[in-house]
Amino acid sequence: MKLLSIIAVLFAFNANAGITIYDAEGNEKNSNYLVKQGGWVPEAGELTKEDLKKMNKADFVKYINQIPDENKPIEKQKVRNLGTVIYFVDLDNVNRTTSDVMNSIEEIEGVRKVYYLKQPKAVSALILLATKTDGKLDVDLKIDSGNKVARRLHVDDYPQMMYLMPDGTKSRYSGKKGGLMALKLRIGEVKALLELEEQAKRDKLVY
Amino acid sequence: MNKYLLLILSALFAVNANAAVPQGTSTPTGGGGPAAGSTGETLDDTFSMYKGYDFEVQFGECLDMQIRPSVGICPGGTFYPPYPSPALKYTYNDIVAVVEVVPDPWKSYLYEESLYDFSSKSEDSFVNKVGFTPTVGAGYGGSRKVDATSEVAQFKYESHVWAVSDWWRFKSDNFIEACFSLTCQNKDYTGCIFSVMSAVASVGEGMKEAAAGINAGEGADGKGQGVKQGDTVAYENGEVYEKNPETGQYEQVRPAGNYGDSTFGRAADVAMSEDIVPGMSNVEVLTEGIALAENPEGYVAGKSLQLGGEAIADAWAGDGEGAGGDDDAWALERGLANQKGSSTANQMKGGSASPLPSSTKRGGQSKSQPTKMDSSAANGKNSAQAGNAVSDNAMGNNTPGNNSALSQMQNGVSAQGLDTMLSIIDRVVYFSVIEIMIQMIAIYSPVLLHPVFMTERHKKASQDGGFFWSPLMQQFAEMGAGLIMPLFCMSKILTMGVDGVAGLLMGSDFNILSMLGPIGSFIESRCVGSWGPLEPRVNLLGTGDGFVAAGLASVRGLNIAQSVTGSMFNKTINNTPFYKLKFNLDFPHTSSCYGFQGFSGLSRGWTTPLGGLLDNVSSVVESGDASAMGNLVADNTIGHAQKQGGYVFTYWRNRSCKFIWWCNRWQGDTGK
Repeated sequence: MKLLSIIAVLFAFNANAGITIYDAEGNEKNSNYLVKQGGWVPEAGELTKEDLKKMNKADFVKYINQIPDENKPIEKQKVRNLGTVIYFVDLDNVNRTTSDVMNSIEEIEGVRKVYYLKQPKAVSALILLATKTDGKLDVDLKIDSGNKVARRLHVDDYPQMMYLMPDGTKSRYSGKKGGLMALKLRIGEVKALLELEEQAKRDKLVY
Repeated sequence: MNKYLLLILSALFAVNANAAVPQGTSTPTGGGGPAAGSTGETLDDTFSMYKGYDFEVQFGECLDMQIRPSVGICPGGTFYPPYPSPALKYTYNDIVAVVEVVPDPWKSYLYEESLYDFSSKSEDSFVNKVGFTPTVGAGYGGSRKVDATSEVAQFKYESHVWAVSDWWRFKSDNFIEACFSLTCQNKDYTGCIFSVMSAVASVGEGMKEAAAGINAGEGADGKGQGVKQGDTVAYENGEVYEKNPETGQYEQVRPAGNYGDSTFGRAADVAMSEDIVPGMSNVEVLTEGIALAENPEGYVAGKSLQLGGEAIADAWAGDGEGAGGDDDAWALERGLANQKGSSTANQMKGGSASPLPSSTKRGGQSKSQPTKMDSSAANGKNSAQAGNAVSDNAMGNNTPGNNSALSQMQNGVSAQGLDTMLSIIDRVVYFSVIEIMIQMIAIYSPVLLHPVFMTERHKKASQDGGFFWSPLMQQFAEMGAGLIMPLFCMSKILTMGVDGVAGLLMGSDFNILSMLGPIGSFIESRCVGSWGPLEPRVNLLGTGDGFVAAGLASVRGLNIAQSVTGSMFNKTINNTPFYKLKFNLDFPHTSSCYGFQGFSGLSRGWTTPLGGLLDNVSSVVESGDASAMGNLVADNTIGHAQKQGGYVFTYWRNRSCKFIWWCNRWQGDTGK
């Protein structure tokens, strides 16, 4: 019988009134109840409590059936915070200098970073990573399978960086120290712009 | 090599009353049923899809290599201290198994890649598909018209779990990734040398004979399929005969029977208690020999396997003319060329089966209740064929011994014991001597892949899904496990990243885990993402479309394979829980890489058609009548029947490894 009461704790979905949530006793609950129960994880689906209140069944089904972000090509994934930096490097130009550049990128806050290593021609060549970087490289390199990501993003010159900004635009930089400086400046501009926008929103609310 | 194989076989069967009796094959082969020609071109058209399937491993989807330079410490020697060395730390996903799910019994996309060819069985099965009882496949067990145009689907899939060899990885257009995927398990930074060495190994005549015997499908009435290798004959009902060198007569050295006697119960107690053998999980203990604690011969199986493995390794090393130094490239090239043409599979297929000695065929116990398929296809025809010759001793839930063992198992059940118990049940119910033999032969042969578990061999075991068998689970069964479990699994959709918490279906003062105790956590571990539950292994309601049903069937098959492989063969299949695996679809199209928890896909309800289900859940809540839910949920949640084709999935598991260069040491997940 206890099991029967468990399954009575279910959702009722009404196309007109949004989602209604019931507890084990059949009492109606609000969306905070879901959050409290761990039912919604904002990071998982970018779903806010306000979204949930407005969502009808059709929207909900569409929402849960969407392809997960991580299964999309990186350039089509949702850009969060200050954006995404994609770094492309070849084994030939992995050295202490490029290691320092990658380590510097890793220290930038508010930006997602992904480092792609061009697929080597032999597995044994990877061992060179251990010596060419003097053990100083402190990031994980994703091996670009068949160099598909690089081809898709038209990268044919290594090392190279790509910055995907919050508004969806892309900019390219050399993967060397000069490019790193330019990238940091651009990120600084974006950060300033976002802060200004945020300030404008607050001002608008006040007046 | 042959003597080691025999030794292993002997050890396997020498666990006396504790040894398992396999599930019998109940599909007739050759001669018994109507010929394929009776259905003419339709049959050809239907089966044509299985031919010409050019498989390629999709490393680009799931491999996900990540590498980081590092520093490791090499051990010191007598005259020098430990010293630092450049090192590489890396992670990737490695292939666990390929699982195909097909609606046509005994048909496969992958036969041609293996040394075993069961396709001759398929034609009879196809003709008798009407009334064919579902095996492990998912689906709703009752086809009916919903309206003039719609039909409630009845998904009856067969699952084939294929273990892959190192060579399988080279069925890819990206050899670099194929080699990379072998580095950790072979402790070889080139990734490929070991595989090249294995390619030049020759296949012994004894193996060929055994393989041919398995393919031949000869059996004895009441004993199931038999396989002769050398002077040993083994039947599916567990009987083993050996030729007496003095008299020349075959003598029974092992009687029919399965785990289901009182000693199994004691073995089960051993398996579920804690700290039986330090360093080994209880399941490993079980698989090393079900009677480890009772019968020293159980240990012999493990030891002899080790010996056999060493012998084979020596043979490879001695025969590795192309391995090492400058010859590596040549050997690799030659090996790849050979393997592209599946030459080793053909080499193995070249053997001829020895007929089963007539003296070993007598005394089989005929089945008391033939199934629909058996009765329609094989009655009175060639009773020596394996299809209609399975003894009641060979599996199922209706033996007094099994019931006795079960009651003993319940006495010691604990939270951790539930999963273990299911694993034990699988080993009892789904054990097949033929499949064990296939694994044993294949693991010492340079073949691309071999079947570990095929649902067609386990029809009897699947009649109750391997779940209702246990009275412990009857509380779910009475409520309709197919009802309860999807609802719990539905929480996977909604909780997304919060796997392991079934909180969404609970009130804040309502703790399912404390209320259900071990069963609560057990349920959580048995949800295949949002697709549905592992149990029962048959007849799931409302999966909604063929892909979801096939996906669930594939995981059910894989999970059983994990239970029956243990650590003796194909350990790599068994050492990761299914919900931590990733998968990609290979056929009918390739897909991206998905998982069963977290943010990677299935937990979000991807592909799960919830529309009808939500409506029905809603109705239940509004009416307050949960007891009627079984019928409601079934409505409008099932898509159209999938009548042709199937799906091929590749499953992957994560490996993390560290290579310390200067001393050539490997750390991390190097074990298979």
